[in-house]
Amino acid sequence: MKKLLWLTLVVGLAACGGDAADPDDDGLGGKADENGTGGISEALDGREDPVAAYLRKVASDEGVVPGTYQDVLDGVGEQMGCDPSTQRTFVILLTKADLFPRTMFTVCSDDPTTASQFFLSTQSESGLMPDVDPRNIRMFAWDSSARTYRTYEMTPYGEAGEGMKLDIEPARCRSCHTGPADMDSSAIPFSPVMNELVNPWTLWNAEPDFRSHKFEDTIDPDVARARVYSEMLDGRLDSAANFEKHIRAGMERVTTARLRARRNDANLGESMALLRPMFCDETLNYVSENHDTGDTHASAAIDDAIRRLFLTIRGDNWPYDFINDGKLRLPVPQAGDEPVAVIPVRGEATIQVELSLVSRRVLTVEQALRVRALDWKRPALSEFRCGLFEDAEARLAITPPDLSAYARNSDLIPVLYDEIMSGFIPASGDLISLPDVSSEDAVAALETGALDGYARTNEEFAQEVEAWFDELQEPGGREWLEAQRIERGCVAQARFSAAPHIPGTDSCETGD
Amino acid sequence: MMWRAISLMVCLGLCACGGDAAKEEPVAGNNGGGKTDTPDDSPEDSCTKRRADALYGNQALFTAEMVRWSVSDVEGVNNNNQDDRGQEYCEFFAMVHLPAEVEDGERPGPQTLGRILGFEEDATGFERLVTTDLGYELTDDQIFYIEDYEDETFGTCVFTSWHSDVKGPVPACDGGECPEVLGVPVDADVFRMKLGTNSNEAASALLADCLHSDPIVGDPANDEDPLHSDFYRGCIATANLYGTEWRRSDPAVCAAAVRMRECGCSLADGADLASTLIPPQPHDGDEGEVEFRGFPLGSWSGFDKLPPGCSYVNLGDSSQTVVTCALSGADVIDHASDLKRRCIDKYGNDLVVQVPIPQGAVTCDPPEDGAYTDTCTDTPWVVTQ
Repeated sequence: MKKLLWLTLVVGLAACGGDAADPDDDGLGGKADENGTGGISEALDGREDPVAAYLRKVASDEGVVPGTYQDVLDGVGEQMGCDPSTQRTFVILLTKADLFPRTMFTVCSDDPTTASQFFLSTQSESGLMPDVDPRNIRMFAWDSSARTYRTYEMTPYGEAGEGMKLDIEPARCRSCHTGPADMDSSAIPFSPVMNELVNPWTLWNAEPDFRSHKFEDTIDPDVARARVYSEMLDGRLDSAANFEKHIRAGMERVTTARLRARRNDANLGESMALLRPMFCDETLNYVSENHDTGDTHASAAIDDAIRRLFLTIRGDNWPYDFINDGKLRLPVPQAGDEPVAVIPVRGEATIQVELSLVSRRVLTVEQALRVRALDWKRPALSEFRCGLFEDAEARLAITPPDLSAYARNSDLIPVLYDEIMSGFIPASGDLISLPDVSSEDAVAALETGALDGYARTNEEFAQEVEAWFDELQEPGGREWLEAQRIERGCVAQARFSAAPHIPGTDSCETGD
Repeated sequence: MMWRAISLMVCLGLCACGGDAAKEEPVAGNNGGGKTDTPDDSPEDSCTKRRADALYGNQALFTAEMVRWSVSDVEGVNNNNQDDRGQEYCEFFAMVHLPAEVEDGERPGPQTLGRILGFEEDATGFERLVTTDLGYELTDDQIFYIEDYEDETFGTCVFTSWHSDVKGPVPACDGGECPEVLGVPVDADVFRMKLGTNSNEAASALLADCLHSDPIVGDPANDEDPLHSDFYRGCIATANLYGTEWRRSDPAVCAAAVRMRECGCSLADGADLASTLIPPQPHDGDEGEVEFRGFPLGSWSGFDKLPPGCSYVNLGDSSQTVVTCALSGADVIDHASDLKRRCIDKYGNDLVVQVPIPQGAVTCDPPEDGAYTDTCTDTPWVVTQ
């Protein structure tokens, strides 16, 4: 069990969170009966998501909902036209809750697009220990009219277990789903979270499709045998591989909705909010070596956006493995080697915004690659890249652009991009390739502004990255990744409340 | 050796094809060198990787009921020089049915993307694999439309394991009209695999050759000899026979077959094992019904289960050989340069090709003096080390 203590985790779907996307919805927070005199119907006014539709039918004026999670699951599924046979359960062990399981549920689970309209999860707080409390749940559901997720929480109500007390748009979980603690998250929409989004989904149940990575040998046997928990899994336990599809579909919903802001009238705040993910990591994901195969998602070493941007330039005829494969093949771990686990990488939701700006022709692929080429051996959590954005943001606050010159945000964004990237747009070549801004050479060049020697064509940049990619697959690559895991892990622990526990980062947390 | 082997297997496929099929399957040739579109590792390196994938990862390739592998190609198989993706007895392509280029304009017809057409000789005499266009360009109006109507279907992935030498049409076309996928009729021209390597005869030859391959034995004095690994021996046998050890599929099939041979397995009724597992099928123009259209597709969770978003195309039989998987509007917008790649990235690891094994009909009588007899089980094709 000692070994388990270092295990990382993913706070799977840290459900909840409350981004009241509609600024007029200022009366929705707090318990339903505290939301004014109108009761539940008023609190739900304007919501067009399946949970709201269900609550209108069953919730009392005081915001009490009868039954347990199962009643909610059946009721919301009915609203969505989903057969009960399509209900699925997914489980992760929460490191930050002594490896207690969080069970998550979807309906219409054979169709990720539909399933991503509604997520329900249980919580680690339970009055029924060691069992899961079936009346302590959180949910979010897609409002197709407002194009945002709506969030709900229900907690046990009544001494005789009469039902659950409803809380609409609970504020306390917002930080998990809307960016790091030190970032203004007001413009970051609520998005699903699945920290370990790719195989092997450490500490998720991956059965029956895949063998789990540290799940079966980690869950408390008393919990695994508990009645409610067992009922939740019975006949519907599904693999993290399939939950990944539902989460990705949810992220796509959010990104597509977020990018609609490019069509709005030119607005400095909205435009900068769309640019920020290119420079500052709003979200992180975490990747691990696939058991003992040596097979690791290449994003651990190279920002996956670089690969995907090159593929946007053209879909074929790339002679580079990092572009074609997206897979880092470390030497198979030898006796005594521990597979590399839980490496923070740039978040999928963050990358999606950047790629969407390119696919929707707000920015060019060359402009995006220029950003990615700065400090590119630090694929996630680069203070340098984020600093460029923050410095420009400060300058623009003092000297804002003349918005009358731009009709839409999509017209303004390229101008703001130029302001942020001032000094890093090469006179010749396509981009400035700075592998590591903390290297001696780079520090000197940045101080003097003499960056011509770092100008590269896109092709030359790809060759540089490929050479690095090849090097990492030699025996020393594992050590580099391990060091990066700790370096990035320390930052992630400090800034991202949804971060899992990352083995080896305890000392940096305490400042030792 | 690799390309010689591929040519051989293509030939095996072609030799089986008559009539129209022969016309649409030119012979493959050398790819002309340079960084290839298939792996160029040594057999030892390839077999080390495949063994790691098969035994040290989280997918169970070998069960008592089947041998299986994901449809996703291994690293090193790509579309550099030519599009070689689809090496695992499953070819795949994307389809789009885009909205009108301008508002209120006429909607274009459906389109297949990256679908293998066959081989074509280029100016240098190189036989190059050709496909339908890989990408497309969207107008602003099309992007706005797809964003605004996110519940409509604009694209799908197609995965097919219908062997390239097995005749069409499918039974569902009996009335003359075939079922459609995104407006395209499910006929042999579009939905049957094209590569000779993805044929019934090539698969059957691989299995038969592995069942009858020369014994491979590791050094008894060296416990660390990788040839003591059951999987590794099968993989090296694949290298010796065909040079296709870099694939997922061939080493898996061969490892199971080699273990059957090592452990003296046969069918209780005396029938030939290879032709029972992969029965010969009629080609285009032949008489007879198709009983084994190709290796059934499924998922890691079950023989007849599929990943979320995927469904079997109704072919009018129970072959489970054509599957479609949904693409979202965002997929269609964001992956316009190669939507086929999006298909494999999104579904390739979860969708599996399966070789069913009639467990109850197979009996094993291990030879007393076999080098690996002591590790034989009742189901020795379930390779675990």
